[in-house]
Amino acid sequence: MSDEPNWRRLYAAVLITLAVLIALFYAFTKAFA
Amino acid sequence: MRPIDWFVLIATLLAIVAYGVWKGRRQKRLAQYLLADRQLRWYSVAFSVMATQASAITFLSTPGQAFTDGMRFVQFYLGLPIAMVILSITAVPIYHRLKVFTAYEYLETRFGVGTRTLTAILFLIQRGLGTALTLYAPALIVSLVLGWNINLTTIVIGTLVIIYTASGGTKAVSWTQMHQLFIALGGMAVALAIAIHSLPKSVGFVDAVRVAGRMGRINVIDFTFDLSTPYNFWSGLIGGLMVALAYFGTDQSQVQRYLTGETVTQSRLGLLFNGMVKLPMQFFILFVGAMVFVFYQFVQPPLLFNPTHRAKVSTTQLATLENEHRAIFEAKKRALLDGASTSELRALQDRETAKRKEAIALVQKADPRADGSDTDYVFLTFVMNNLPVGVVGLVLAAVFCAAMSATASGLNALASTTIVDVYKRLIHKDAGDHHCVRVSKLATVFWGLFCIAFATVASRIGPLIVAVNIVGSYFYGTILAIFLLAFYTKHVTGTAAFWGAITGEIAVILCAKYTTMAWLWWNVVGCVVGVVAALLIDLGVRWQSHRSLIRIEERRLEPPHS
Repeated sequence: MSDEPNWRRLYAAVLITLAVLIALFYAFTKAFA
Repeated sequence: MRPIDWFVLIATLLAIVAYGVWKGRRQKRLAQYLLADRQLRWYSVAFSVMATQASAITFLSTPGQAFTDGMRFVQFYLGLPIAMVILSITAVPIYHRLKVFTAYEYLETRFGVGTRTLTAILFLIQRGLGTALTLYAPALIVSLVLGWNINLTTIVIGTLVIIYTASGGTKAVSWTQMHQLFIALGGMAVALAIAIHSLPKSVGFVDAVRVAGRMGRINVIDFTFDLSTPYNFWSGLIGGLMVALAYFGTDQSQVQRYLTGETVTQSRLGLLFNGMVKLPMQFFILFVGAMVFVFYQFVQPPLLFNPTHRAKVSTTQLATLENEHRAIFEAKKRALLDGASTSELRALQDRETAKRKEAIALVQKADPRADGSDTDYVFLTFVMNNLPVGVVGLVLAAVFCAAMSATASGLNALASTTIVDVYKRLIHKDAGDHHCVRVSKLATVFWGLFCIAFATVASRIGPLIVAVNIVGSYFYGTILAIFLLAFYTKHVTGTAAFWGAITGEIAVILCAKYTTMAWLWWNVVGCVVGVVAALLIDLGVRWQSHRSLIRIEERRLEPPHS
């Protein structure tokens, strides 16, 4: 189907978001703890 | 509570119930009643999945967690996005292809009816208890706010949920959940804004975060590997992944949400959206708790947050402690405004915490059955004592909405499993669609009443958010083991999976009883022991049958005795 999303990209986007959030949380902890 | 708060609360709840009943009218077929005819778009699936997990406990207990323990609880959700990806690749297409009503129905196609029934029963026990706890949380609020009888409150909330869940089924549940989630998050956002706005003029937003950090509340990520602490990066990533895989992949209350997706694509998109926004959402709720903590650095907090605790101790005993507590608070507030060192502040904080513990010990001495923790009351106390008229009603409505949405999903899933995996499979195999819809409604009412009954004895389990997850962690690992064997092995038999699961469950119970292992790791133990035991049993059985075949072959080749 033409409107089928590119799943690999979507899965990668979810995992990259996770990695970015972990980095941000860590930076937040380091900055304020 | 003022009349306007009452109006906001009652109007919101009645509107939700009426909307649910209206949306779910005319449900004739089982697929309509249990799966909304598999017609929902990804955003409905996503919000339904999120609202199912975000119960009132999330909105009540989580800010309290941040208040007492900091924001490290967010790490519990680190494995969730990975689980969403894994499930989108594996479970979603399988469930859709087989057009199952429940996750356990799939197990029969792989392992036979025994394993299906065992897993369904484990689910019914665990989800039945979990749903009861999600009902108990808002009952706690109203009993605190109005001095109502907690059992009566449980009955009122439970009845409201039963009305629209039993009448409208999954469609009513999914549509109401979207609105409920927005109301709940809106209520939290207003509470956060007011907490920050109520700080002294000299304390800005960044200063407030800095205060939370200096007092140890901004401990979001901790890379220390320690099996005995429940929330660190590793337990969150590994244990949290197991919990999320089991919860979203095998727990019918969640599986049912994405089985309503119109196509595999819609269901997958719903799960992936959840994977992207869940962590920020939990961070936000914990941040509200951290800001409530900062608020109480400048406004005198009560010594005991649970108002029922006060009645258990003599006023003279309490007055002495309250005076000491107030003196420590004043000293801490002065130190904060004067820019004292972190070690000085933490020492004062430790003294304040010690006073609170002393007061709770007094309460427990007077009444040994009293709850040793008042974490769950922190956010409520803040709402009731400090939010303006109208907003109190809104925040209470938010908490009730969250409770109702999670309870509705639970009842809906309990009814589905009871009908599809027990009633229709084992008792009345030839039951028609109309009959099954009628019995599903009765099952919803039955489970609603069960949850109400259990909720009345839940008050001594401990902090609620932890209690729900602890109940789940007794079973999740084992159930996940069964599903992993089903998804990823081809040769393992139903008997091996069944006994593997039993072995995994025994291992979890032994860990819980005889070790200091934190509960998140029980999921890993149940899963790993379950899988390994099943593989070994399967290997043993196949080796045994291989030996039997060789013996038969040897006998066949032996020369006949003369």
